[in-house]
Amino acid sequence: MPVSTDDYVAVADHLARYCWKVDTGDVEGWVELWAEDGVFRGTGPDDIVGREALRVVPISVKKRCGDKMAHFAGNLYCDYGETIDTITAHFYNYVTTWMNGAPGKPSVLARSVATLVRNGGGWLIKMNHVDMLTGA
Amino acid sequence: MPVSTEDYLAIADLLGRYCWRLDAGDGDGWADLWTDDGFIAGVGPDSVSGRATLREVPISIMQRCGGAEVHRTANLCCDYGETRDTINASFYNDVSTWLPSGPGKPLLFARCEMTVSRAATGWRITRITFDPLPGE
Repeated sequence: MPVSTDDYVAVADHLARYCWKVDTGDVEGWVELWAEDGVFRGTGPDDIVGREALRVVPISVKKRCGDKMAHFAGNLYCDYGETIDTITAHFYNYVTTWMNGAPGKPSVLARSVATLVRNGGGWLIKMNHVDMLTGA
Repeated sequence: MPVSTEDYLAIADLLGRYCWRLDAGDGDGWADLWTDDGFIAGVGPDSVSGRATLREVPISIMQRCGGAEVHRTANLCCDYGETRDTINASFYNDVSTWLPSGPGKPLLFARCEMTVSRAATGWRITRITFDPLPGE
């Protein structure tokens, strides 16, 4: 069953905020996009579980790159899960860095499969499982 | 005449699946996105047409690059054709490689013109014409 237009747009908007907030170091704003028990899988050997632990992600991006990292989400397609209150969203996240006036450099291409759960009028990320291509 | 929001998002979703299945080497899944007489022009000296030939495209990419080739689409704009059951879509398609031997590299950028047809189960691609700008 294809997702509704409203739900597709809401998920696209949610993923855009995900990129903006991590790139601008908005720690609280970024973790609020996740469910309380949200799981980030595939960025390292261990899952990052829960909002408190997830805070490390935007903090470490800011520490490493300041505001010079850019996440581009694209190639989004969406399917409902067992009910229309869960969506599986497939998207690519293309990450570049723009450090010290040097030309932009491709950093990571992450194929991401996110599970989002409906939360009132919006959505929260329950799981984001990334398969990262880093090149070298 | 601009297309409806619902149709626009259906095409965006279709292109998301197109990239995911192509990069995953999913020959049958990718061919399912096309009409039986689907047609590609502009990628090489010869056109590609028909389901049996189309299904080989993702398989050959997977054999060549082992899952390290990445297609992304953006800048989608859509217009209805002669009826609302046909859409002419324009989009950008960039292709990069993420081989273990080095950082991610842009491989090709193409401006694409696509025609899709409404089917009982959603939209299907009838034709894509690529106008590529090859890199080095």
